[in-house]
Amino acid sequence: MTDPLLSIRDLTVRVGKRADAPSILDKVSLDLMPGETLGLVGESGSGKSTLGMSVLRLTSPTLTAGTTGRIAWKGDDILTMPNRKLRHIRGEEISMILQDPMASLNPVQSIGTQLQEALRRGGKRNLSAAAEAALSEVNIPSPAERLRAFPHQMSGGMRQRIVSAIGLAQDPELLICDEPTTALDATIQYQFLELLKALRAAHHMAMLFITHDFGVVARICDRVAVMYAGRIVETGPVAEIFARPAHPYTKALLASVPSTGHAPHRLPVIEGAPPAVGHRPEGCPFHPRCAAASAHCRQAPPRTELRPGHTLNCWHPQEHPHEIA
Amino acid sequence: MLKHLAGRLAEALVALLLMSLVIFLLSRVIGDPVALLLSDSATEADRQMLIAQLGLDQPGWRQYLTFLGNALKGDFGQSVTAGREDALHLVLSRLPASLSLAGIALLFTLVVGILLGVLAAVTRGTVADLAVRLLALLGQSAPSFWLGIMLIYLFAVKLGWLPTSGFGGAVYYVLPALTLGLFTLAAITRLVRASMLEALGSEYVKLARIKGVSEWAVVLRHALGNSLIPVVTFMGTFFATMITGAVVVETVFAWPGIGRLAYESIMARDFPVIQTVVLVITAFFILANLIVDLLYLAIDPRMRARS
Repeated sequence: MTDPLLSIRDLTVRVGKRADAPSILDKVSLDLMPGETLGLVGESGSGKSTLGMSVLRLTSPTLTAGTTGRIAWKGDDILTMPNRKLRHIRGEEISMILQDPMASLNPVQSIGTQLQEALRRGGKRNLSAAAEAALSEVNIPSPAERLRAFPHQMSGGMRQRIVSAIGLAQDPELLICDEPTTALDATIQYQFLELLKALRAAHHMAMLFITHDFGVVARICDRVAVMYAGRIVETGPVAEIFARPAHPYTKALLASVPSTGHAPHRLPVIEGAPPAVGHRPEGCPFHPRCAAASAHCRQAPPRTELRPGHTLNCWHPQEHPHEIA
Repeated sequence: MLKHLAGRLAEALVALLLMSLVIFLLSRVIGDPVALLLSDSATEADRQMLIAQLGLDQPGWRQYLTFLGNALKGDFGQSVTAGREDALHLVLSRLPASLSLAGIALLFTLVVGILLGVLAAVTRGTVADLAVRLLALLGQSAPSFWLGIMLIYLFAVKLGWLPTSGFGGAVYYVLPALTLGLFTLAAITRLVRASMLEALGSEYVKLARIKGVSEWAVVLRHALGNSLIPVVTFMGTFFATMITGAVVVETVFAWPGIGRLAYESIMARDFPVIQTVVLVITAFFILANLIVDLLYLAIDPRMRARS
């Protein structure tokens, strides 16, 4: 068996240094194999973006100070490595696409300047030719012209493709995508996901795909980890999770996804709201909203491996197969 | 681009024309020039003669047109004080002292203000940040006449390092430029600190860090360019502060510029000179705003697209 590319163990992120400070992430562990795409699914505030930012040590200073655990990149701990070494991992080995294409490009620099800055770091020689090629790769028409343009002159879909070109400029081995399709129109979303799949194949990259959308997970991910209130509650291969979700939260989440081919009906909802950071309950964080909850659930749930690769943290795994429409 | 510039120039001319009207009207309202010019022993006949001579028997619009025509020819009348000097000539002869002082103060203010602002933002929450913020707060709250006197007391009287006042070589510039610039310096520092913090927290700075760009390049190449946009916006206002501040600072430091000239001519009720000073300042003000517009085009591509 090959070693994982990225291996996160007991990653805890607190708001500040104190041991009793509220935590955003609570002992999160996951592995990512070379070339694999792992989806991180959860509601807003579940900590999935913080997890993504932590991998590049890009969280705010308060959170960085409150980060414990281990994020091993090819065996080296990102959390403790010197800045100089980290800078060479950023962009060159691990890159990232941010959520908001309208905000993630520098408004006063031309597209060419911003793209070439990344290409130069990637050791490219003929920068303008490389920049044109990079824009062509993400399907930007008339790239030579676009290099002289500024971000405000472009649509959201085009900007997100340029952000991807910047992310890929140094040929990284892992691309973290933080809800890259959330700010895009539905049709553009589909195009962009297809583009990402093509780029993933061309660059032989692994991906960490952060999203709240199971539809996106089904389209692009190999495995999925479901997050709730700063913890991973269930993880497994995408097909397995869709067919046999075992955690009550995953089941409820999947049941609330609208599907076509049905007469319109009221979608089931999960009663209540996720707990805020600092107000998370003891034991399983989902138990106040869980239909299957019992007195056990006030204690930390055990980790169960249902099938190879399919694990969950729950006192009451829902074993019966989920009906798929 | 050229069309935009031509438009701004036309606006500037209209503003100047309006200002001349305001100045003309104000000078008619504020005082009676005849009473001011006549000596105590003048007779009614002298009075009538002077009125005719000055054209004050003409209707108001005619007087304004005459004023405007003369102004275009560079004739703003004579100073009413003993010398009877040509008003425009008098103002222009005082201009270099004022411009050099304001220029040095503005340059010093910009360089130090931006440096301090960036320093405070980068070291946010540390002692350095706190010190800069405290300094900026003091700089914005200290009135310049008091500050000028305190600086003279400390550096000229107590320590004897610098001259108390007057006009001359580089050493004469230090205290007045400091006094004139401190308020603006504090304002720029606070402005740069705030906009720098905003830029440093932005998504595009995050993307620059994701690229692996060094912290220096993140600050200088990505954050600074964006955080200077509000500074450019306020440049016109800063210039205005310098000009109005000049009246006080030049008086405190006996600086032979138009600020002190304005003060002296107001005290002497020397209307032709007051009018000329105000008009010249207005012209510079409009010029400064034109320069700000051009700077804007240079620094922000979004403005280029709009114009």
